[in-house]
Amino acid sequence: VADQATFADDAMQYMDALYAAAMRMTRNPADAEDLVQETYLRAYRGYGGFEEGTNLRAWLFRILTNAYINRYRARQRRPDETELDEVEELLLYRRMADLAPGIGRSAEDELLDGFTEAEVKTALEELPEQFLPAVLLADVEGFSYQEIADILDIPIGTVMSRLHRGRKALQKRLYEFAVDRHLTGPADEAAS
Amino acid sequence: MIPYINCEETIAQLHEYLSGELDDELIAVIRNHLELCGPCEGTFAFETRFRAMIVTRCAEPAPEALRRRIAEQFRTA
Repeated sequence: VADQATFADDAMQYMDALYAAAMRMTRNPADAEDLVQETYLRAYRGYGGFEEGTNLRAWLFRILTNAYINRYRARQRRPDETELDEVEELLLYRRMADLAPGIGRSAEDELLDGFTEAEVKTALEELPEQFLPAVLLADVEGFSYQEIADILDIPIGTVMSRLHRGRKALQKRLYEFAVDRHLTGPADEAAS
Repeated sequence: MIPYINCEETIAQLHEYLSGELDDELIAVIRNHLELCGPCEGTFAFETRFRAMIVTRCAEPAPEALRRRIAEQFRTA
């Protein structure tokens, strides 16, 4: 049986990752801190039931996403997901010519390097409600599809369809940021 | 002899390939296609870099005060 002193030592290393996910889901520092604190408290209390050798990081994310759904989800409004069926696959790559000058690698650098932290965070935070946790767990945290199915208590087919649509939505929002930037030009040029 | 799949079938596996969700046999098939096909290789390379960009842009260190509160919570719980 796992003991609680071991838990404190093992679990603290995941706090940055849990806090980052909590920030994307709640969209503000006060709620994110509450959510992470609640996650650690629940995990600490429930640690007797945790089987050693299983994935502690996945277990903590499961507690975090459940706590989020219970506490905050009903309060959040996010954009509707219905328009996503129209969105082209691999939008950014296929529209590179519209988004960045140059060809090949230099255009890709121009486009990818141009995205700011604020743009990426906003694009994630504006993902439709259903898709955000799956996209965070897969593409930021690197969990396997099966781990995500276990964390979110959904079938693996549902994980895949949420990822498919969530990734499209993320590229769509970032495409809009890139178009805006391209239309207005880099800030330093505009200033000179 | 590695079976050949076309571009459409290759691109359809892109996300599962990048997420490490494919078995060894299919990985070999995809890699074989990418070695022979510049456009698909370019697409995979871009999406790989795109994902890395997302990860680096959304790091968010937990505040020190939170870290202290949680450590304190463990001591008193």
